[in-house]
Amino acid sequence: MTVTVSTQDGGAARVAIEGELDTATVGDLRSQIDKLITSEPKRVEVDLSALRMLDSSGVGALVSLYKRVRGYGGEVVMVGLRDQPLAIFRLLRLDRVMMGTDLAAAGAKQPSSNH
Amino acid sequence: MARPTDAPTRSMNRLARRTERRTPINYNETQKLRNRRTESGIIPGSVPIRLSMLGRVQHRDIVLRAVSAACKLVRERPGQLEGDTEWSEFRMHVVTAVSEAFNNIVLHGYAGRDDGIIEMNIRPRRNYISVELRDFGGSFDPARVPEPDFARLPESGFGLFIIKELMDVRYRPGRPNVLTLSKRLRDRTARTDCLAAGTAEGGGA
Repeated sequence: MTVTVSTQDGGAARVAIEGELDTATVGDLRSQIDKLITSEPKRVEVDLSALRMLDSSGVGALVSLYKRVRGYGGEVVMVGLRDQPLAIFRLLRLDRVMMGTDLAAAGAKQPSSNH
Repeated sequence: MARPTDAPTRSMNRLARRTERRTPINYNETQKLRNRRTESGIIPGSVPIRLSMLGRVQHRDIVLRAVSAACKLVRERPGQLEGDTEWSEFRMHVVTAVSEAFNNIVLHGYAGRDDGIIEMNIRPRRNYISVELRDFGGSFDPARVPEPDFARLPESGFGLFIIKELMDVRYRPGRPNVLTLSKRLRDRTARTDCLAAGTAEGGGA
């Protein structure tokens, strides 16, 4: 898994997660989130377009990010979900809460595993 | 009288006791157990694909690759493999569910210990697969594990829910605990239909 965090003007940040977000890798994401949250960005865009595999541990980290940013009044948008991660989001009904309008477009795609 | 095929053997009980005592596990012993079973013809029908490993997160990728490869042996018609939406969804569900099950054993059953053994039997059939996971860690009652309270946006407790949604589940606590996950290709329930078609209720943003 690779996590790329970039801050932008106007108090926005972008977090791009690639590869597999699971029990083995979630610790890296959590430590990056901890660092990011200290600056309290107003808007966080989480780009999951290159995420291939997501398990329940990874979901926990993403929900944690969402709740922490919302907790100080910020906004979180998760974009680019597809295939297995999108199926997991739908199964856990997170699409209703955490997804941006991007989901509507992604929904037309059929899930398939790249594993 | 023939011993039931799923009853623990003396060797398995010995393995369990070693696990409890945190002593190193001798893999030759599990091999002897397998040989004896095969020689005695206890396993009816075809022999399952077997893996035995310590329950460590680092071993999960090996498990998932084996399961993913075994899914290639499951097809409803000749030539049905990658590129086929239903088969791809089938494999994705199986790999995801087994991943969660393995995590549960490592993180909860063995509670972070890294010397507990996990045995896996994979039985791919023409349009069906079953994956059996055996461990000697703590047991649980799947019926008593509550579903996540989605309204509260929980951060944990998703694993068993995901497993149950994606595969049929049987669980027998004991020494060893035996978790059996099975799935039929084209076993498309209303829920998985929604997943595949991207039309889950409220599936918009």
